Amino acid sequence: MIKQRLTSQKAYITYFVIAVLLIGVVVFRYLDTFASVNFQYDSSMGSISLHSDGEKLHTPANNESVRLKKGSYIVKSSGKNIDTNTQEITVDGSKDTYDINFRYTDKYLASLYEDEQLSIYTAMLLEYPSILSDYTLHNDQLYGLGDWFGAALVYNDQEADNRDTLHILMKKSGDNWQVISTPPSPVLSAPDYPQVPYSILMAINQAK
Amino acid sequence: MLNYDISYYLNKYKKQIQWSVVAFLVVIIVFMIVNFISSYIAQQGKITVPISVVPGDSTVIIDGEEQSNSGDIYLEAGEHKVKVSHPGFRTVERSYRIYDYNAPAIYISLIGESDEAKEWQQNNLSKYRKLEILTTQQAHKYTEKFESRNPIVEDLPVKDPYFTISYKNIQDKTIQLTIWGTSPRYREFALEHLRSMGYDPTDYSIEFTDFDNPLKPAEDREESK
Repeated sequence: MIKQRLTSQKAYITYFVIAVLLIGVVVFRYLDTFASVNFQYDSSMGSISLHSDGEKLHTPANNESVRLKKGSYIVKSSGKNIDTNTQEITVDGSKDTYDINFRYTDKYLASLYEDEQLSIYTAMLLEYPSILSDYTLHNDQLYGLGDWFGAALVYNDQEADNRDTLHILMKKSGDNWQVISTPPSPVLSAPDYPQVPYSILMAINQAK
Repeated sequence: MLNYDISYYLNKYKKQIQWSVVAFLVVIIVFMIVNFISSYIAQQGKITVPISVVPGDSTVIIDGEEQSNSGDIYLEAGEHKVKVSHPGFRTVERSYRIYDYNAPAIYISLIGESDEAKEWQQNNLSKYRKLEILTTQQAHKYTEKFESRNPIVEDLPVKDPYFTISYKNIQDKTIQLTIWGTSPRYREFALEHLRSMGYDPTDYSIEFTDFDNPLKPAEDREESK
């Protein structure tokens, strides 16, 4: 009788242990469908919001750790003069920090360019004295937060077909502009300018 | 009276024999585990490189150290100097770039110089052929890896009467496009052609051959000529 009781007690303990293990596996698998991420951005300039399936989920503060279900999300930027561009991110546990870089709206950049034009041209002529007499600037504009400048340099005598259209890239440091593409080239290659945001290089290369 | 029947002794010392067998097995297992762990540690951070040489008993020296001449060896990423030698055969010295992205392998066959070596070579052509097959297989693996890293190479070169688009292999890892055009207009057409193929020129380092950048300093333009 005692032996029977012991046997059934052993069975109950075994079933209990198996049940706990199974529940543990299920809970672990559920928790593994989430990942903690944090977003870094300049909160003095604007804010970001997280969206999924068209629904706004959260407005994370700078460096706030957020626990998200693994999957794709849209990050929308907003702020005064900040371009409301969207960026898609995939949360899969491989990355825990996302850097969000703001950029100004085209309209605001155009207004900034009016004030910067003289400084830009001065810096350009210092580097290449005959550049503005030989070439005309096309699609000249500021990029990013108004600290990048790019343009196409189209040779004035297009009929002769003996000069390539070049692309120039400049960067503002402090109050001064500096030519980065030395010399300006038909293509500004991303491998040659790893410090420059790819979207800026691509946009300048498409200028004609 | 002494009993020389072995079963008597097996029975008498049964426990001792059992313990000895167990101890022996434990020693073997421990030895295998230690060997496995030390091999594993030695291989950490290194790249597995298959090696095969003909003649099979040639001496292989890599960066001044003798290495195995068959099977797999483990080398750190980087450039290595390989020297394979055998009496009577012409010594071969080569540099190899060993990285995990370029499917490295060391397959070297030596050419006989002495009469004996030449005779051996004639009698063992199958070994040379086998090594050739391995070399071809390795070349295919290399091409696969290279093309997966640089998918554009499958669409190059592009040859037009007025422009060509080709590429240079940069240290097995990446490429530099080379664009030639009869005039600035056709160099621009080449770039547009790239875009129409679905590639953005921004992604590639590009050398425009026969292009003299007028904004390059005069001394640099003289140098590049």
